[in-house]
This record gives sequence, C-alpha cells and structure tokens, in this order.
Amino acid sequence: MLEVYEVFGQKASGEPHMHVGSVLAGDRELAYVLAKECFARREEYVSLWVVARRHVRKTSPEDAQMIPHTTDRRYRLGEGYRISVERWRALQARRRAEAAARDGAEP
Amino acid sequence: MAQTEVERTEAEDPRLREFEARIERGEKIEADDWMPEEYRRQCLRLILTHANSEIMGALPEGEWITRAPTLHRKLAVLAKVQDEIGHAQLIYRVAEDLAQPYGKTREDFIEDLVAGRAKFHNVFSYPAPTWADVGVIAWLVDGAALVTQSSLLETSYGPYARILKRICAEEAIHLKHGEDIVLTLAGGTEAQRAMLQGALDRWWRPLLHFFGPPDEVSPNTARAMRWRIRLKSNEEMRQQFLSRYVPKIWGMGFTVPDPGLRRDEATGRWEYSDPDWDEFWRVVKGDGPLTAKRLALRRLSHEEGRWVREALARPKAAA
Ligand SMILES: [Fe+2]
Ligand SMILES: [Fe+2]
Repeated sequence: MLEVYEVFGQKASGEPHMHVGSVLAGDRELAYVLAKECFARREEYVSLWVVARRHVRKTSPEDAQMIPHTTDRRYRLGEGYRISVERWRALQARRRAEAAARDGAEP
Repeated sequence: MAQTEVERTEAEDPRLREFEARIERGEKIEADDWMPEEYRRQCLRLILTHANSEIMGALPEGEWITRAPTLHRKLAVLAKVQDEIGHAQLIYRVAEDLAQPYGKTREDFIEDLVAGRAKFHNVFSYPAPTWADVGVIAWLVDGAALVTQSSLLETSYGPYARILKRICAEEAIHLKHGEDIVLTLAGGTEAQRAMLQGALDRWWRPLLHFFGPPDEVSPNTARAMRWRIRLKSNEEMRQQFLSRYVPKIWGMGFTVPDPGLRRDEATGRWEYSDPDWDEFWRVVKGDGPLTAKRLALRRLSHEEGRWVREALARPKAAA
C-alpha cells in the first residue's frame, strides 16, 4: 500500500535537516530512493531523512489558537529592553552633571 | 593520563584518520557517526557540565521570583528561569545520544548531579542576597556564559552546535534583562547604587574564576582543541569578557574590587591580581558557600517530581 513520506534534507554538514517536501512510496526504502531522485537530483544535500506522514504529529488549527501570544510578552523579547539605551544616556548625563558640580565647588 | 586499551586500539584504527580529516575539513560530527571514545567522553563531559549548570543556574534567581520589585521584573525573572531549565532539557537530550553506548539517560545525569558526583559552574554556589545580585547575575554571569557558549557555536559536534544557536539567542535576552536592572539601580538612589556596588564586589572573583585557571596544559585540552570540541582557551575567553564588561562597569561610574586590574595598552591584554585559584578548586569540587544547600534543594525537586516523570513514562496511562 502506498503512503506519504515527508522528506527532510540537510544542505551542509552541521546544518539542521529542513522539511523539503514529500513523496508517495510503498515502503521506507523506496521512499528514500524517491526522495533522492526528487529532491537531491539538482539541489545539493549531504543527508536526507524520510518519515511516514502518519508518524508526524502536527499542530492542528485548534492547537494553533491555543498557543497564547496575546499577553504582553515584551519582557521575553530583545526589543522590550530598548529603554536601556535611555537609562544609559540618563546615567551619563547625571555623571556629567555631578562632575561639573564637583569642579564648580572646588576652587 | 594512561592510555586505555580502547585508546591504543583506536590509535591504529583507519577510522580515526578519516575522523580527523573530517574535522580538518570543518565537517560536523553527528550522533550516529563513528567517533573515538575519547572524543565522545570529552564532548559528554563538556555538555553535561553545561546542562548541569543551566539547572543549577536557575536556583539563585529562582529564589527571587517571589521577591522581585515589580510585576514586570517578576515576569522577566520567571521567564529567564524557565529558559534556563528549557536549555537544560535541550542539552540533556544531546547528552543522552552521546551517552547511549554507556546506557545512561537524563535520570542518571540528574542522579549524579544531586548526589554531588557531577560538575557544574562555580558561580552557582554563591548566594544572591540582594536584588542587585539578580541584575549582576543576569548581566555578568549570563554575559560570561555567553562568551563561553558563543565560542562553542563552531564546535565540531553538530547536535550541540545546533542547539547552542538557539540557546545563545535566548542568553542574549537574559543579558539585556540583567543590564536593564543594573542600569536602573545605577541611575537610582544612593542606597540602590550602594547595593549595586556591593553585588559587583561579591561577584567579581567568582566571575574571574568562571572561565577556569589560565594555564591549561593537559593532553585532554590539547586534544579537545585539535578535535575542535573547544575552540578558545580559558584565558582567551576571560580576556574577551574583561574587554567587553570592565569598560562598561567603569563607564557607569562603578568599580571592581581589584586595584591591580588594568589594560596593557601595548598588548591590549588585561592584567588582574591573582584571584585565589584554591577557592575556585574548593568550589568546583563541591565545597562552595551554598553548594550543599542548593544541591539539597535540587534533590528535593527531583524527588517530589518523580511521580510526574513516572506517569509520563507510561504512554497509555488512564487520565
Ligand atoms: Fe541558559
Ligand atoms: Fe541565561
């Protein structure tokens, strides 16, 4: 019986295997041969993986809605800390003012 | 170190030459590739020290989740602790594949950790008595960790290199979070500034220790470099850390507790006073100020979570 196999290819040693497409085949070995023919014929891959689609657990539309990105999550992201630049500037201004006050008081 | 039977046999193995040629060409070694026993052992040791440190590193900051000064800071510390435990999960998985010939799993790694048989970074044995410590940890301890981890992005062991990409991206955010806490205190009241200076004073020596002693002459290190498991020496990384952070600390108007610290303008190298390497050795061998207490806490979580792990290991358990 034919079934769908998902194909993952690695472009260079050390890179992750990325999903590139799928093939229809009677068994895993044939799926691998087909994947080589279909995907590695022109494009260069150093490694291919095939896995039967029925073994892949995918995110369903209901799941996707449940991944919550609705609350304020700036504290998790780099851009949430842009305020540090302001803080750094304010600190430098304060140090300059303190230094000026010291110099003014000395003579 | 005396060569084992395995190593002697391996030295004559034609696969060793091919393995070294692959590394020479800049190829990555994957979990199911042939590798010399010593390569596997060294990778495993490095990777387990990293994983254990992620877990132990969550503890000093975890103590501050309930005490963070604002809701925003509380969320940020909580998210960071969650990231660190997440890093440990990713890294233990890489270690499990490496340890497969020894039949070891993460349960064994954590048993080793809580029994005090495993290594983790020195810094996680020190107390974090004030909120400023939380800022200094996230800014400078994570900053030091990022120096080490980004030097490993080019490691020859592929699975580790790949997860490090993701880990380093998250560490970079931890650093910003820490820097923001530090800048807030630096721009604050005299009490806040004194608290920050106190934390810098406390953490300076452990931070210098973090990268390990400068003179690494062991044959293990030489091999780790040749096989590109590690790419930078301890001292190279410490110098990088000093170049990156000392000017910032000074620029904020704060000091570090080392009157001997200076940058040699001619060579560009930082000179620092001897930071008492005996203390470093005591701490990494398990005798740090809070090593026993933190391990006991980790052991408690491990025991209390056992029923969850057991339930998860039974795939068709009734809900
Ligand atoms: Fe981490
Ligand atoms: Fe971190």
